Amino acid sequence: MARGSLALVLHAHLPFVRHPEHEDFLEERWFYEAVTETYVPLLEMLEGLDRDRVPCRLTISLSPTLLGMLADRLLRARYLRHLDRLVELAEKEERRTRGDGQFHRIAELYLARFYRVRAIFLDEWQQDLVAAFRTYQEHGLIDVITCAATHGFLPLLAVNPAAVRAQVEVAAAEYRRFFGRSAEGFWLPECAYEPGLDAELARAGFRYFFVDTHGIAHASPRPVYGVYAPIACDSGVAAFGRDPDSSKQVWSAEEGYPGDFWYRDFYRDIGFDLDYEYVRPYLPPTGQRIHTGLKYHRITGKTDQKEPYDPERARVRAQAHAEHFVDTRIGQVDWLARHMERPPIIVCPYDAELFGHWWFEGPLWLGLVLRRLAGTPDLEAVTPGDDLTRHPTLQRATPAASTWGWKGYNEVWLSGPNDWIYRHLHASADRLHALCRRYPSADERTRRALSQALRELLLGQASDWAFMMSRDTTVEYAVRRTKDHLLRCQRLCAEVEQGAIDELRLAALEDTDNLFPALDYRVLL
Amino acid sequence: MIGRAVGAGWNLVGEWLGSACGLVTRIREHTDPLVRVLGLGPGRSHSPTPPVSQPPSPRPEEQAREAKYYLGTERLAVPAPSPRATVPVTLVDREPGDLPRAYGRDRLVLLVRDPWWLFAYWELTPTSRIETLRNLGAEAEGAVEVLRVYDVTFIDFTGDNAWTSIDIEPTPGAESWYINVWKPAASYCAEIGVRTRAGGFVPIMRSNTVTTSRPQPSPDTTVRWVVLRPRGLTVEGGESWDGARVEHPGRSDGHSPAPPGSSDLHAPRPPAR
Repeated sequence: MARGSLALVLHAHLPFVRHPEHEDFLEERWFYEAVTETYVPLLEMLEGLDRDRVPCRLTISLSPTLLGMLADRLLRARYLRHLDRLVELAEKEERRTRGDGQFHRIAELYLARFYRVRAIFLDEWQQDLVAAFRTYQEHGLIDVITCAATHGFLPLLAVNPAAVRAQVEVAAAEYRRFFGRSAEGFWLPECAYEPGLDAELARAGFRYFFVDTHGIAHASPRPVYGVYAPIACDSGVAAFGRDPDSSKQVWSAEEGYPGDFWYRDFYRDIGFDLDYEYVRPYLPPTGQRIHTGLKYHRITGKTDQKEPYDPERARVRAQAHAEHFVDTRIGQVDWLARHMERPPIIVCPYDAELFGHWWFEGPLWLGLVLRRLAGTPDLEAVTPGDDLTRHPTLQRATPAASTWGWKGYNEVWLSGPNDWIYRHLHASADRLHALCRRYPSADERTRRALSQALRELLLGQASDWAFMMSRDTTVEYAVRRTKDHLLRCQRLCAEVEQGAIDELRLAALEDTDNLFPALDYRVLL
Repeated sequence: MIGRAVGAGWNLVGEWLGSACGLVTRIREHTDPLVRVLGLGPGRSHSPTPPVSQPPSPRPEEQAREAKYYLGTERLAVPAPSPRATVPVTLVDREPGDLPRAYGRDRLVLLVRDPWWLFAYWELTPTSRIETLRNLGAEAEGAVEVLRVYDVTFIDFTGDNAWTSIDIEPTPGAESWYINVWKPAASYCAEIGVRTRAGGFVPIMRSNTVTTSRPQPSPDTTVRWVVLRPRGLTVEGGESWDGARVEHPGRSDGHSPAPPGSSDLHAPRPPAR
């Protein structure tokens, strides 16, 4: 029997970015890039494990907004168009680099990579990547969990408890719609917890959630096993804490594996390096240079003089890092098991997009880790749900309010650049909540208007917008999205209040912000 | 038609605000200094946000997270592309206008930023301000608007039973403030009100209550075990925990040695045997 367990948790999320009103919208590329570089490579990794019958237990949180985008026909079609252009660019690159031994094999690598992505997306899964995740869940390789409906930062929305409830319950319902069963786990957006949130999760039927290390270390009463065993909240929902050591090894670009000099460099891209006219057809209509996804250099070191990428050497490093990761965890559980009365569990949560997009070799590394774990008797890969089933006796304690990220509290999402949003988020939620309570059973038109108003409110609540404002990243877009959704919500409220719903406009909004098709405003009652 | 109706609605609100402001102006003519300290001066401005520090360098999470949104662009310096020529009429682009400056409702909200800082925002309608001034009568002279923050840890706050409180005099016209609270792991509530020269305090509105986090391990070392039941049945023991429960006395011994390469902050401590 294994001396301890390892729970690898990937949180996959993107805000809902779908702009049918524009033929080519820059921010939709976030989604295209994540599909090409993260989601499909992860599925490819799972396919290999499934084919080779490697025992594997991996937890993947798919946010409801991401599920909505993966299932959206327009975005699928646009993604294919994007991928076809990427293939075209890679083919041109393969021809251009012939005769250049160093770069030609990298160009070939990208070409083969994009062909493979296209085959997986189009031929193997007929564009339905949600079905792919569902299949691997049914095969027992992964446990898919959910996250708040639009990744709302729940502690800062809790002034109106109904707003939090809607984020949780809409997520639970969307999960059931996509996976035909209830989710066991809930990824709190930004790992943002405050006491009491667990009661909302319990109400919606969830068994567990995650907090950052200090959420457990500062829990009350003090947990005797630290982060190496879950604790039970008063509501009966379990909280798992992040292991700091394994997190740093993977997260950190400087101290961690992704910063290895042999790994591919994220920032050097032919979108910037090559002749403008040559890459112009692959840039946005505005013509600004952007990343294309074809990057030919390795990190090399703290220098601007980057050397060509060497896929074989990178693979060797990924293998070494996978071995190091597993061996270090074995050492950890060895020590922990001597001091605990139950087998320790090491919880390693990561943003899924770290793998492949940021850290090119990440999916390869992850696959190697899972294969090595399968052959390691001392350490077993589990999901948190597996752990709770095997070890249902937990210490009762309340986690401390906390988040992951900078400083470990709410400041990233509540600071000078973004604090203005909260009065509008709260006022909109209060107004819509009061209005919904006035219409416990509305006629069809009012029902549609109130449900769309709730969609808009949820979209405005996404923590991504506050994050972008705080990090000075695509601020204009984040401000625009916040304002647009709240204005739409408020305008719909006014129309319902006045009994004058503009049906044409309502239909237009339903077409534009079309996520959560089964959403019913009565979740706010 | 709807647009006209909405417009008419806003006109009504505008007229109401206009008449309220007119009343304010009339009062100002007589009580100008007082009105200034009560924040009724021209324009509304956000408070300075003194304690907001910008992250000097991102933690790994932020760095990787930012990469999700990184396309190699210069922060959308280039405007978004124009709508396509063939845009169906059923699609919606940007919303015209801006979010309201005010919602016409008194409100004071506290949010927790971290164990040492709170954020307060408020809206105080002209009507409430004026009513308060009227009720103060002669005492309005020299009175100041204050944000009073109470420590209500473990207290069901009734207005006069807080452990302690501090008064903040926001900049006239301010609608939000960062508050450096005096201790973490405590509960706070706030009121906006008027403090008279004689030291009396007339509250106008009260906030929600918030509790800050504990930034260190809990002093409570009680150990209580519970058994989680299978899905849907919550837990065992007591009211909602109707089953196996093992109580351990609190422990006062030190931590176990830390595992290799780990801080002892999150290392396990063996339970009492």
